[in-house]
Amino acid sequence: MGAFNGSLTYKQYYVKDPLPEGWQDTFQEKIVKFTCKPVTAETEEERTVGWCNAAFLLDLDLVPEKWHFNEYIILGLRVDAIAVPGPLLKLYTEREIRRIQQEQGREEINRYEKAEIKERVKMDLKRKVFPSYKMVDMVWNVEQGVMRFWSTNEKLNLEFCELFEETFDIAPIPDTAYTAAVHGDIDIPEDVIAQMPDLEPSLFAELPTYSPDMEG
Amino acid sequence: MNLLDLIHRTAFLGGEFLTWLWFRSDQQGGVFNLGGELGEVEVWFDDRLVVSSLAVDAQENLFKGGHPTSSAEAMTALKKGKKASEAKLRAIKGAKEWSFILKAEGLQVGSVKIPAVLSKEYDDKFYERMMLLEELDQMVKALFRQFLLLRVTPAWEDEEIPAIQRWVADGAKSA
Repeated sequence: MGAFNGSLTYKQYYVKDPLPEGWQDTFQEKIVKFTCKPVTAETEEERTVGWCNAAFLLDLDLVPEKWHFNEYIILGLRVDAIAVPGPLLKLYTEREIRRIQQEQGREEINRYEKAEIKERVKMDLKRKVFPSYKMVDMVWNVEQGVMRFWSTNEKLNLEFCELFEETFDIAPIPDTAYTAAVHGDIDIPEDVIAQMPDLEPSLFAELPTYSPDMEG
Repeated sequence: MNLLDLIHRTAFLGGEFLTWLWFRSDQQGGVFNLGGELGEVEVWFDDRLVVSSLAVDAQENLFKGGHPTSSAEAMTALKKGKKASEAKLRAIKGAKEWSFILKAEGLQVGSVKIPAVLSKEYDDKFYERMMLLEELDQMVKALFRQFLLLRVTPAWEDEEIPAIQRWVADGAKSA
């Protein structure tokens, strides 16, 4: 599901700052810098977030031909994660502790040794677990200054906005009632925008007026 | 006031807009003249509606199936001071029809079903999908524009609010 097929659910942002001169080159450099770094058993991070080719999430060789299409910048936000299930780690750590106890004829293993064993077991298990990949499409119409991110997950949107700002040096502005009036290209006069913060909610129903008789 | 404060301060307008749209769609037979290139569009409320209140801990009412906006239950929720916070809508422009969920908070659209895409090539298909999404966004924003321009005039308090209150009272009466 996303920009290319399926049902369309996304969060919309405005990106109204003017693009810097020679933005294609600058963006290319920064996109490469913030391309997703895959997680493996050997990497310290167990979760990484970065850009990938929106047409194929395993493609991390990002060149302009893969992200710049006429007025659109299209990228995938890739989230890699590798996690050893907790119960499995507990089980295998216990097995290793028992093995060491038996091998060395020891009854007690101190907590530092246990922690070291747990870490070693975790590394071994990480080699046997496949990382999980997730990709969310981002489509930015640079002419309209409107960008869509194909997820409404709040946490992911925050991570996305952070990465977007780091990469393009522009803070995306969420589409809301206020920002739509200001940035939505819908020709709202300045004086109307100026009045918006002073508006008070309207009552669409005639609510009963309070009177002391209503008590008891 | 910084941008975040302004966004929070005006967030209630989303609920007012969606409820006003419900009222207007009901009164105008779904027809809105958006002017310019957009011209006349039809906006219908479909089979999903969420009505809620800004009050803390207030219950949300979810109506599913059938035609919830014409139900006495939904009107009763409005009578209790609630406003539409989410609705499934259909927008029709010429031969094209969109189905989507509009959330009052942030004017976000979701679960959009766009008119059938005619292009066969992968790239062309993408451009056509984006064009249809942008067209939908323009329609929603043009409707919001109509609401907002009315909202800041005296006609809002003097004519529109009394008309909405009558509509709510009449609708709830049939409960």
